[in-house]
This record gives sequence, C-alpha cells and structure tokens, in this order.
Amino acid sequence: MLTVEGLRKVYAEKGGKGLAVALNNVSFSVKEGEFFTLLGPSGCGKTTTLQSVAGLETPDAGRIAMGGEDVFSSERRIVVPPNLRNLGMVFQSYAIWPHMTVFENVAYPLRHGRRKLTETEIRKAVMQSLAMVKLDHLAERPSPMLSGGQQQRVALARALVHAPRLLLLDEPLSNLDAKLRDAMREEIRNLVKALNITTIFVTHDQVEAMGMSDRVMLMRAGEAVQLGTPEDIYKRPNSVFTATFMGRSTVVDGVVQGSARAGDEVVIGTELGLFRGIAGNAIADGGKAALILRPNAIVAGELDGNSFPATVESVTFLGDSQEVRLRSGDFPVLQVTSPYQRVEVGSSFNAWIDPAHCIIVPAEEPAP
Amino acid sequence: MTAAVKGGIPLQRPVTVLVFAIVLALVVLPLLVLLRTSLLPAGQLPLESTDVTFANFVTLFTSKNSLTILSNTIIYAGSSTVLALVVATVLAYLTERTDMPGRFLLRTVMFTWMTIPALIVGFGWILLANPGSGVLNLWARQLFGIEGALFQIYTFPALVITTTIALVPTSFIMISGVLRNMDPQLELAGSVHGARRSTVLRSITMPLLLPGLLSSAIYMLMAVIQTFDLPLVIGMTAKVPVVSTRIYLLTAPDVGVPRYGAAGAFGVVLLALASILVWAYLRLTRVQERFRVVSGKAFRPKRVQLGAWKYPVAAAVWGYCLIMALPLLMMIWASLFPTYRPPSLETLSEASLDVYRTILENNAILRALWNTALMVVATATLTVLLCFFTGWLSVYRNDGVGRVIDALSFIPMTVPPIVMVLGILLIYLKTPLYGTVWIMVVAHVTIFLAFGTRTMATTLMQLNRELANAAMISGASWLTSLRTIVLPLIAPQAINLWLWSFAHAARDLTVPLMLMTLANTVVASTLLNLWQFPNLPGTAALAVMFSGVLLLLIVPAQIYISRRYDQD
Ligand SMILES: Nc1ncnc2c1ncn2[C@@H]1O[C@H](COP(=O)(O)OP(=O)(O)O)[C@@H](O)[C@H]1O
Ligand SMILES: [Mg+2]
Repeated sequence: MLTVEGLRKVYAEKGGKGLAVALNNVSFSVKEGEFFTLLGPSGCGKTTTLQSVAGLETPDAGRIAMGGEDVFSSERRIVVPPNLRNLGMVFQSYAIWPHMTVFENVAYPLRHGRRKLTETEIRKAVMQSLAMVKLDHLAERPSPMLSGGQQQRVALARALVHAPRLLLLDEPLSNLDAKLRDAMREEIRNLVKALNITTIFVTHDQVEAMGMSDRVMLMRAGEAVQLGTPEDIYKRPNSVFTATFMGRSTVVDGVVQGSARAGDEVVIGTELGLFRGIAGNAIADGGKAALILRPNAIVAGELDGNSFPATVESVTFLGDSQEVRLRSGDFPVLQVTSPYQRVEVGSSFNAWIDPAHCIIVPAEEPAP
Repeated sequence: MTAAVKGGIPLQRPVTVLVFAIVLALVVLPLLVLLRTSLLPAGQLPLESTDVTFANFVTLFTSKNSLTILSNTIIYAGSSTVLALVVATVLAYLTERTDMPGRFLLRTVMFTWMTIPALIVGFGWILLANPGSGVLNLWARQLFGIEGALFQIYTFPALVITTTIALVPTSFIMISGVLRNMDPQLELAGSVHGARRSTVLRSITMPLLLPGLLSSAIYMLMAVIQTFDLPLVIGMTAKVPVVSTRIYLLTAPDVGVPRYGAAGAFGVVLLALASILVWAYLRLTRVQERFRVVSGKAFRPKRVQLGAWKYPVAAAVWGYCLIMALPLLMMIWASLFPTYRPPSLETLSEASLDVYRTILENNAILRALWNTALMVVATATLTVLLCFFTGWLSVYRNDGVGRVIDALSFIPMTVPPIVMVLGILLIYLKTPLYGTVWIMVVAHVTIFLAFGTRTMATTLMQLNRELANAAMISGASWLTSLRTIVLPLIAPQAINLWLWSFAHAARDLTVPLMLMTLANTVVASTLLNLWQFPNLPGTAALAVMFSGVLLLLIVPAQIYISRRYDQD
C-alpha cells in the first residue's frame, strides 16, 4: 500500500549555519489494512517522516509511493501536494478549527475535497462519521466547547469522513489523561480495524506502540533502528537502544566467545559469569557485546551456568506486580515477579535465566 | 547537501515569486533611484541621464545653509524627544503605578489623541498663539493689560513645544508598556529590605526602566526627524528649516525648477541618520528582551497611594489634557463663523453651520473627500493583503526566500517616509501613475509594509500551523486553506491592521503633499491648500469633520482593544 524508500531530510539549524539531519535513509513499507507504528524518542524524526508521507514536508531525497503510484520521487522530480494525496490525518494538537461547529469541521473534507457532493450526501456522511466516534449528539456544538477527548474524536471523524486511502495519526493520545488514553487506545484500534483502513501511527510511548500495532518501526536520530512485530522487537532487540527503549532491563557488558549472526546462539563472558543466549544482531568474534536481562526473565534456579548468586536489597509492591532489586556482588539487577511470590529482603538465592530469554547484542556505540 | 526537490504545494511558488517581486519593486527600487538621484547633476532627471557627480554632497556638506538645516534638525528632534519623554514618563507612571483618579480615562484620551492629524493641531496652535490675533495673546491683553505678544507661535521653542505635545500620546503608550512589563516584585524586594521609596525609585526602578526608556526615546527621535506637518506650518514661518521641509521645498519650489539631485543628497543623509537610530533601537530592544526574560511575566503592580496629593496631581494631569485639547477646540470655534471671530460668549449666539454647508457644496472638496476615501480604503486593504503574504512567508518559509522577504519588508522601518516618497516620486514622475490616487496608495503600502509584516508575522507565529495543514490534508488547496482557515482565525488582528493603515493613511500629509497634482488632492493636502489660500473657516470646518470621522471610526475599536489588553 505504502512504500517509503531512502527518505532523507536535512534542516538548516535554527539560528546557526549548521545542518541538522532529521531523516537519513529511512525505508519501510506498509501493507494494505495494516496498523503500522513509528516509535522513537522525541526528536528522532517521526513527525518529519509522517509529514513527508502526508506531503506537508518535502524530503530532500527518496521516494514515496501509495498504491503503486509515486506521490514523491526526488529522482523523477514528482511532488504530489497534500490535498491530492487522499489522506486522513489526526494531528497532535487535533487542529480542530475553532471558528466552526463540530459538523462543519467534519464536513470540511467533503466540501473542499475533490468530489462534489450534494448537501444531503454531505449531511449523511458527516452524521455517519460522527456516529462512528459516538459524537452525533454534539454535531451543532461550537468546537471550542469540547473537551480534549471529544476534540480528538472530532479529529478522528474528520480524518475518516472522506474515506481516505491512508490514515495518519501523530501522537493522538499524548494530550489525554491516563484513563482516557487507555480507553481511546482500544477504540482507535478497533475502529480502524473495523474499517480496514491502512494506518500509520506515531508515538514515543512503547506501551502504546505494542498494544496497538501490527508492526513497529523503531527510530533513533533520524534512522530506522529496527522493524518488526511488537513481540519481535521486545523479545529480539537488535541493539542496546532497542532493548532499553522497549522495556526496562539490566544491561551487562561483556565479550562474546566466537562470532555470531542474528539469531545464532552465542556465549558471552560478563562480570556476572558466562551466559548463553541468542544474538540479536551480528557480532564479530571476540567483539564487545552486552547481555540484556529482562526483569521478568529472571527466576530462581540452579547454579549451573546462565545464573548468578543474588541478594534481595529491596522490594516494591505495585499491585499488578512487584519490583525486586537484586544485587550480585556490586552489580544491581532488576527483577519483576508476581505479587503473590514471597520475597524476603536480605535473602539470597540463585538467579537463573533461560538461554532462550537471554539476548546478546553488540555493545552500545557512543550516541551519535 | 543533497539535491533538494523543488516545488511541492502548487500556487505557493507563483504566489511567492509574485510577493517577492512586489516587495522588491516597492522597497528596493525607490532606494536605488534615490541613490542614483543624489549623484545627479543639476537640471537633469534621474532616469534620463547617465552622468554622475558628487557635487550635491559637496554642496550639502560645505554650504552654511545646509549645515544649519542639519543642526536645526538635530536640536529640534533632540529637544522635543527629551521633553516628550519626561512628560510621558510622569503620566505613564501616574497611570500605571499610582491610584490617581481618572487613570483609565487618561489612557483612553491618549489613545484617542493619536488619531487627530498633527496638521490640524498645528493650525489650532497658530490660531491660539500667533502674535497678531492669537486668542491667548488677546486674552492676556484684555485680562492683564500685557502689551505686545506674550505667546509667539512662530519661534523655534514654540515649534519644539507643539511637537512635544503632539508626541506625548505615542510615548505615553510606549512607556506604559515598558512599565507594565517590569516586574514590580523587584521594587517590592527593595522596599522589604528597608530602602525608602525615593531610593527604590532611583536605585531599582530607574535602572530597570532605562533600556525601555532609551529605546522609546530612539523611536521618538526617529519619528521627529522625519516629521513634516508641524515644521511645515509652523517651522517655515519661524524660519527654522529642517531636513524634511527642505527636501519638500527642493522638489516643489515656489519659484524655479525642482532640484532633485540636491533633494536626493538630503534624502541619503536623512536615511543614514535614521539607519543609525534603527540600529541602536534594535540593539536596545534586544537588551530589553533579556531584561524581560529575567523578570518573567508581568505581574499585577502594587499601586502607590498618593494620599493628600491625589487631587492636586489629578488636577495637573487634566489641566495638561485641556491644554492638549485647546487647539482642537479652537478649530471647532473657527468653523462656526463664515469670517473668523475671536472667541467670546457674545459671539456664540451668531454661531452657525453655514461653513460646513459651503464646504460640502464645493466640488473640489467633494473630490478630495472621494479621493481620500478611495485612497485609505485601497491602502488599508492592500496593506493587509500584502502583509498577510509577507508575514506568512517570513514565518513559514524558513529557507532563504523567507529570510530575504523578512529582511526586505523591514527596510521601510529604516527609511524616513519623506525619503521613501521622494524615491517613489522619482520613479513614477514620467508614468501615468503620477497624478493619480494610486501612486499615493503605492507609497503608503510601502511605508506600512514594515509594521504590517511584523504584525502579521507575530500573529501567524501564534497560530498553530497544524490548523492550516489539517485543511490541506482534508483536500483543500493552499489558497483555500488560507481563505477558509487562516484568514478567519486571524481576522481580529487583520482588522486591527486594516484600521491602523486606514487611520495612518488618512492623517498623513507627507505622501499627499510630495505627490500632489491638481488631480489627486486628498483631505490632508486640501486642508493645507485652504489654509494657505487663506480660507480659515473652511479649513476649520473640513478639519473638524475629518477629525470627527476618524474618531468615530477609530476610537470604538481602540477602546475595545485596550479593554481586552488591560483587564484591571
Ligand atoms: N522546521 C524545522 N526546522 C528545523 N529543524 C526541524 C524542523 N522540524 C523538525 N526539525 C528537527 O528535526 C528533528 C526531527 O524532528 P521531528 O520529526 O519533529 O521529531 P519527532 O516527531 O520524532 O519528535 C528534530 O531534531 C527537530 O529539531
Ligand atoms: Mg513529533
């Protein structure tokens, strides 16, 4: 449905004469009906990518194709303007026009779009779209008199009313309070899945990304770091960055014995001892590497490899789970257990990690 | 850098090119022609000659006459600025920081007063204080038996004082702003530490105010060196020529042919002078920004209790306002009698509106009224339109094009209007545009470009860009998104700018006088013609009507805006 190839965007730095690379050789493709997420810390280039797809930014190089037709190509010098790309978009600020009613906001894409519709057709489509987000009773309300959650629903209705071929969502949940956010997460996913509309979703929150997406592309400093299903990325991170971004973990530096390609089993020597695990990425023979220990993967076990002696330093009870701070020698390790497991502060045990749950990735390069 | 792909949103490029070309033609062309003219031998026209000479500058800097003009200008501008600054600072302090009765009314009066054309106020002062029949002199004679003339309007000091009074409202507004942005907690901190009020004022308030006061002073200096109306109606008779009146006389002499080369040289010198002031102004306002960052948001000031001084102070302030209003009252009086009668209670019974009737039956005056209406409406509309695009481009195009347009549109800020108009006159002298209302529209739009672009840019910067983007994603073209989303959302500020351009174009004398022919007289130039004719009652009636219309249009809007701006 959507193909993005070799996207590059360089900004002149504000004030100075320097250049800031916002996107560097970003490529991905999205399948028909897929819920695809761009994930990464603030400033990594998610919005720039999304706006390039939307046509609101013109990249310096690369190609963007929708349904087999180029909408942007630096080589063929094609730039299709945003209003001709047939997209729907929900902005971070929702961008609800305050001088219009809810109805007029939603009707705008039908009034100014490519197809000419009669007033009756417009009314029908708008009310249908508003009903979809359960706001049909507020159609005539002036839009400044809406709550944040309602504004977001209006934005969603407006983005979908003209049946776009692609729905773009730029951090739509970040301005909502936590409870509403959880509800909307479900609702958005169900809605776009019911409509079977291809969606690109931007967020900096890995929980959102994992809960909603079919596939996730993790970005860092203008580059794509890893692309895969949420489970893939969580369980098979290819770098220390991915591992730590996708969830809390303990990182132990070490040196691998022998070389490995991604997916191979490999042994790493660390401060905590020797560990067998799965290489998340290619690692050179004897190269510096890091062992990733997920807090849920640590269990009590025997002391015969892939284990270390641990002392419980403190326990924090969180309800759904409990956090256990362990120490092995001088080395702190985080464990998360079921709240029903009894853990005594000061007690010692043998911590063990299944080799299938040990991830070994190349050591972190100094941040670019 | 990688090869950038040009294009993107359609129509944006042609519109950008068009706006760029317009700005270039409006701003840069007159300046180039001006420079060229300053190097022009006597008796030639700038666009018809290739000769180059420095004689104009040599004459300017060696002739005693022109050195007098330069020193006059500097003394005139310097002394009126200092006086206006002192008066305005006192008034602003009383309004912003004390419990003086009537302080809100005072602010409205000051806002209102900026609407009255200085030319009309000048006429009023002449009626009040000319040595022969000046009302103040007559009364001094009747009441105190003072022989001769106590008040002499046609002198350098009188020119300075009338200019000061004309300048106070603007400075008042600026200094009120400075006081408002200053954090009174800093003063409070001083008092808490045991300092006396006078010490706080001297050691804390003044140093904090200084950058703001200085930048206001420079702004006013700039305003005075280019001011034209009062030096023309008072200064010429007083034999105090300044640069602006000199430029006018060189291009429109009573006898002989225009000396464009000499006018050009004066223009270049004035431009240089103004550029230095603008440079200083920009530096200082940057310092001010820094102060503002330190002091944070404006706080609600704690007002000083005037106590027993409350009513004497209020009386003095309102006495000043009465003096300020005297010239206009005088003009109203003069408009009520077909031949001028000195004010007294007995003559009041003979007052009539006959003069107004005569004025409104005069075809030349009716044409001037029509021309004025056309000129101000066209100017205001085109200014808003052009500045909407220049502002948009300077905010949203953060590439070279945006920055160049931003810089170009700032230039008119540096160029005294009389210099800009001189350049425009020289360009269009031999074209059909000369002698029409439209050449005045061109001149006004050029002069207002700097202020207008700033206003629109600030407004657009505060408008979330996603609002317009959402429209384009929804299928609207770029221009449709501007028309249906951006313009309606910035309508209050656009209307504000429209009114501002309207009022400034209406009250301006520089442009109509420099570009006047028989065909394109407007109210401002007609007022001067009637005055010089002389037709005193006619001048007065037209002046009163004109001021009335301006006040009716501008004051309600201004009161509304200052209410919104100030909710205390
Ligand atoms: N208009 C712009 N001018 C200059 N730099 C920009 C502009 N827009 C974005 N950037 C820079 O590009 C980088 C990526 O920005 P963005 O795509 O907004 O990040 P994200 O959405 O992931 O937080 C950032 O470093 C940002 O500062
Ligand atoms: Mg973003």
